[in-house]
Amino acid sequence: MNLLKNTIDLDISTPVYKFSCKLRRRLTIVHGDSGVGKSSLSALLLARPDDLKVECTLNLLLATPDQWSMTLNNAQDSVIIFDDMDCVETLEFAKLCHDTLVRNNNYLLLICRDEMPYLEDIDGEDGKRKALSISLDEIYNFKTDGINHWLEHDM
Amino acid sequence: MLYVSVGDYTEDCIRRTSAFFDFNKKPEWFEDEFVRHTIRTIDRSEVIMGECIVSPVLGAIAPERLSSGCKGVILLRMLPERSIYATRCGDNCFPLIQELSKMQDVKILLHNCPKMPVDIEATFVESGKEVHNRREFVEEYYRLRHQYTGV
Repeated sequence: MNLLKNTIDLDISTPVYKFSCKLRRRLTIVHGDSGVGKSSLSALLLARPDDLKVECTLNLLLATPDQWSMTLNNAQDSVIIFDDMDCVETLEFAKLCHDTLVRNNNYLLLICRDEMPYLEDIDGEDGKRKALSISLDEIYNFKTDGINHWLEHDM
Repeated sequence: MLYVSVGDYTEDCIRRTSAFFDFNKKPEWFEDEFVRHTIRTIDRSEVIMGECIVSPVLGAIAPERLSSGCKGVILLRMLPERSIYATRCGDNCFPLIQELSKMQDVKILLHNCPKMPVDIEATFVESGKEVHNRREFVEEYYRLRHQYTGV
């Protein structure tokens, strides 16, 4: 499955919180220390304050614990953020990613530290094993200087 | 002592640490010196009075605005009978978890291998093996975890 597509620029900002990144592949994985503002990103997208500015060529969605599978199935032309969600460990999540990401032209930003063993080893219904390739280049640390937030590679 | 599980979720394990903390925290928790130390170290914030916390970035905040990792460590301190899904905690939380484990028993579940302090001491629940440093921790973690994930 070809996961390569156009690079998507994502910029989210309020007067006191700024985040920007480039999504080069369908799956981008983000982790990092506690207290650097990862969950603040989700809180902003959930609350959508009036002064929130989002610049992205695709729709920006936040997956929720009870609707994530519906979002993956139905959302199109979107960047979908998963923040510390249990579902990323599951076979169902891996299968939905395999079946829908390219079809729906979606990109995922996974903020998690969980292992995701199924993403690279999925039992297909046809008996063949499928996989999504996760590039090491698209695993990042979330960094901040207090106001600005960005992604850096692990060194 | 630090007790580490790497298998499936158990009933006593708090998985959604942030939500659990938000709806179960108690005002007296923030009078505990280790809790204040945790908030100061992980979130670089100070407990001023009661549940009023001051962050250098956010200003005056309620405990709900603390980071998930900070909340997880506070739960470990205040609810020692419960296990915490510590994959929700960043690497910067584990020196504090190590410090806490010298004061009381600490139980965590991990589905990732964090960068533990070099001199970490822990007991893996599934095997009973005691480890005494980071290298032993990593080896035992992946040996056990392979049994659950096959990778």
